[in-house]
Amino acid sequence: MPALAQSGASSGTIRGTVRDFDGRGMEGVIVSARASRETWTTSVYTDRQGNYSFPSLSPGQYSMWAQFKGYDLAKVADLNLADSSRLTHDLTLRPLADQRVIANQLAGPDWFAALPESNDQDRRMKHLLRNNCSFCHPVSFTLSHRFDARGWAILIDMMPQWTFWPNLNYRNPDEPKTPMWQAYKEEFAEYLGRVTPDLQPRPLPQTRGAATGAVIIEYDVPRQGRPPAVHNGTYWTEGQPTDWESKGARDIWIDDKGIVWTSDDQSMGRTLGRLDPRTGKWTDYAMPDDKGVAFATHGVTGDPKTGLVYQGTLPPGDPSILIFDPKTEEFVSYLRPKSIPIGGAFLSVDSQSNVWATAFGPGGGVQKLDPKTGTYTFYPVPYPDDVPEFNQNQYGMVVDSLDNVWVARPGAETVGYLEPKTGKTGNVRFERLVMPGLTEKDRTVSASMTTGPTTGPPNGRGPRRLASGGNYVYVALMKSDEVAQIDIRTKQVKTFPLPKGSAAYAVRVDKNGNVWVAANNADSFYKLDPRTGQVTDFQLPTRGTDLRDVTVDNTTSPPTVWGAYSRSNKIVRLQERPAGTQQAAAK
Amino acid sequence: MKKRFLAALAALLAGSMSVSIAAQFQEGPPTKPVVAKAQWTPVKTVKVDVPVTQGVRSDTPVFRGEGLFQQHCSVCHLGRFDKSGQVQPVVNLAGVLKDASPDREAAVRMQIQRGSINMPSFQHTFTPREVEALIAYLKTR
Repeated sequence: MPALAQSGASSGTIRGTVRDFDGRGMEGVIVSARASRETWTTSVYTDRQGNYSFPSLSPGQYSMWAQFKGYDLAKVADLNLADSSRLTHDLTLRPLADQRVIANQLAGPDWFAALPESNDQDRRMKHLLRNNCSFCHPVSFTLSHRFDARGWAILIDMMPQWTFWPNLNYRNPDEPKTPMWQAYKEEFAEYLGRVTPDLQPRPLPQTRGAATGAVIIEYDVPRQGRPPAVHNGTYWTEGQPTDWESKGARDIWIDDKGIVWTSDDQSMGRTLGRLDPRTGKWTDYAMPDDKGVAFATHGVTGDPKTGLVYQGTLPPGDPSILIFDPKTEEFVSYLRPKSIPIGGAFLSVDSQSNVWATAFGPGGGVQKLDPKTGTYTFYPVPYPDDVPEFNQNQYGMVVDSLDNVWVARPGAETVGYLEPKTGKTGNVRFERLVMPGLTEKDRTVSASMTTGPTTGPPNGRGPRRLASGGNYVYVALMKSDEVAQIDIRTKQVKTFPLPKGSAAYAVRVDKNGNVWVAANNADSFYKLDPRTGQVTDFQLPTRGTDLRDVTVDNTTSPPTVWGAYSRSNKIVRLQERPAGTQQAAAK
Repeated sequence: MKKRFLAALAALLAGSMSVSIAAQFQEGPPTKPVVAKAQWTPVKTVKVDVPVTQGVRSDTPVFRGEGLFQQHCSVCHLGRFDKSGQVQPVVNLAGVLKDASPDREAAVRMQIQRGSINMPSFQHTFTPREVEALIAYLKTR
């Protein structure tokens, strides 16, 4: 909780009931409040009777608003919350009639559900869309553009000319066009040109039941040299935010002092971002290159034993591991020896305080850095013999509770495995989805073109990022909307379905054994209970979140879940409250 | 018979909740680690406390049009920001409708509606109200 719960400062609260025009209480409405002098927004859900109640809020001048898909925004300005006061404010929501405005409010799974799939061809295209477009743009953003086939073909031709990494030339006409996009270009253009002009997405069910007890706090993330974002997904009827205005923080880690650290691949002057959630204060730390430009970073993690923060840098230059010492507030770096392959974007720390990272390039493997001695060790982890070199690419990795290492291989549909102590290696191979109607082109493309983190045929599973929890490793399967659970001793695998079209991106396990999922098509945190397979959907107060990472603070009870909105440029914190909190407050 | 039916139903329900086996483990050859000592390389750190401020909102067509412009036009007409600063757009529309003649405005409306050889048609994307907001914003650029 910002400020109050920890400082014991004075506080008040706001509560009330949200009803529809017929006077019925509405469940799952997100009610948000923001003090004029603060840099964060606090949100709660209404319960089954329509009751909402905020936790302690600092005294001040508040604006408050309520949002529910399919209903117009209800907003209240200038609520004066005095010290120790308890304001009651009821709201009525008016249903929206304009389908285009409703569409603006919707998240990826709502849009995905509206895509036709009544025949094999449409089903293929729906999966191709998720597998080739989602990992740069949430599907809600893509589909809010309603072009004809000619328009979509222009965009598909144009996209490869925008280089992916920052710090490189913006528009590169010599960049080879992505072969898989080109192979499917005509089919994409025909399909999107046919379905998007009249697509009418409808709201899927919103947050319900015990989940409505949760409290969500979203912190604005500033950017040097840029005006503050205005259209940042806060008000849903305004539609999806864009890279132009509000792209920023990427991965996230919280240290044992409650400080939040983020990596950043977009913002000027920032290699590492620091948020103090108690005050909302933001600090940028830059490691400048020889032109004075801050290095871009992808992964971030840390070691509670040493207090060090680790990041993985991105091009230009070879990706590598970067160390930051919060005590001295300085970067510390070891220059990777030439005999060690490049790597570092994805990181994990073992029980001996070694930091591990994904290695890049064909062949596959992971690298270990002992920060005490500066010694790097590269461990090759071979792919199965039948995986062609062009499909040898790696993504997320994790060290499990036995100090063995797992690394995702999206192109090979496998997760690589290493036992550093014995030298044993292996691969968990995922079966492709059984999908009627695959074409000869799908088979040709699969056999001849690179499948990777951002491309793939219709029937892949796409392991992306991993997490460790007790006896298991969990894997986000981005192309099949699943989470896989691997038993680290028996190597037995189970899979759990998530909402369709959500595109599971990253996972993290809390101290209660629940798996929290960041899905970059969905403006939600999902909580998976692997004992029952039950998935709880915590829909978030912001649109176009493009969540790509999640972390958990296990020092609180219940655990606190943190994420970075990479597109809407906010840091989010979610904590559950016992069911019935709102009703108790209403009495 | 009834027991078998109930067992099948239980299995079906369990399946719908969660679990299927979709993968198998395959052992590989032993790894051959490469060890190397790294060189210490001190690096510079630049620290900046960045103030968090809120943008100014309004209830005008210009404000709505600016949002639409950023959502649908920025990729070509606003460039982008990156680590090194702002990168110039492919086609900068600054001043495109500033004090423009009716003919020029009509031409811009036509371009939005029909597109061009390098630009998609936006006739299905924007509602008439959104086009008016967009034009109102372009007149301020």
